[in-house]
Amino acid sequence: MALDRIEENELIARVQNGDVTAFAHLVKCYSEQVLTLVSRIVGSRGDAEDIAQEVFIKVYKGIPKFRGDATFSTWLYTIVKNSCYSYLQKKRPQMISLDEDADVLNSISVLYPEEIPETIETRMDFQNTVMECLKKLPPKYNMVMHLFYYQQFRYTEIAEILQIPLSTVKTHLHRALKALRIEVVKNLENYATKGAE
Amino acid sequence: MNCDDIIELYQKLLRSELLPDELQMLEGHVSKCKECQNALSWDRAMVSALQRAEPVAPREDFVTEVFRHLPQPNVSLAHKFVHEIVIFTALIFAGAGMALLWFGLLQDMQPDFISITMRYSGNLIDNLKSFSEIVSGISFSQDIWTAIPAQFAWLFWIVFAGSTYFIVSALFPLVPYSVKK
Repeated sequence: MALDRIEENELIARVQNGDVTAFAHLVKCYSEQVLTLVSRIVGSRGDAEDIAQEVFIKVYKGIPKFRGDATFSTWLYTIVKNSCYSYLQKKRPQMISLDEDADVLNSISVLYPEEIPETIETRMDFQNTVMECLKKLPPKYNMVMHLFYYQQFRYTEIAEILQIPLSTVKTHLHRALKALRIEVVKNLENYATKGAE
Repeated sequence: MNCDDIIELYQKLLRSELLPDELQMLEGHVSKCKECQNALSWDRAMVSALQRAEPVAPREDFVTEVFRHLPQPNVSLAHKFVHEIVIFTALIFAGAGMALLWFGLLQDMQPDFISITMRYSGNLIDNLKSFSEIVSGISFSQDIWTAIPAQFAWLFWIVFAGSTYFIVSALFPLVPYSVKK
């Protein structure tokens, strides 16, 4: 349920005046997007529901101080990012510290199979593989891939959400794609090997 | 133009946002670079798979659950029930006012105020008195302007008008400056 900027500002003003119906409407508009992103970052549906609820509770508490310097969605997604990272810090600290070393990634020069598995396997298998491999990436790469290619945010918005420089957004995207390619090919090769067995 | 120079173009291509001249620039490089050519077909397929992925729908009670966990404001009992207190007080005053009118217990109002009231309310007071007698079966032997001292008469009318306004606005929220909970 997309809101345009004017509708969104009116809704926020009403929430700031204490209108709980407006807040419920805001939650309904953004709950699917938030839950989708959170579940793809943290992996577990149950935990994702809890984190998504926590996000909206933080929105409710913080909205009186929201001045509109950033758009509401960039502010909201900043909260989403912080909540996801806090969760991962506690549950899977190794994922936060994992970082594909730039030199290592750059040194990998792989000639990928020319035939995309999408033409060999079913679309669903390939899609499932891609989605599973995304979860294995460092959270910052997974997050930036979703924000750019799925949520369609601009570079500047992603920079604001992740609180990183603009150039870093582009670099993260570039490395994320490369890391994802490597992971997907590895996964499909394993799948093909098991299939042959 | 090398591979690093086309990173942004490449990313825009994957979002189908390239302008024609940008597309030409990118194609120029890709046609000469085997690695980018090879990677591009994979990246297109992967990004397409991501963009086609089904969103995760929240449970039906998601909004209810959020509300259940919202912090309750720390308010005093009086603040919490201010709406009910206002309406209850308004009811008391309006009820008292109606009772006084019903039983004709107002006394010694300023004569000029009585005449003004009578002039603008027409026969309202007399009609109200007649209606009361018909409904209650009680005949008013007293003049309705008896009992309460004149100096309180103004206060009485202001409070009575205010109380009536509160009750009407609570029942009909579209009235301007309605009493809101």
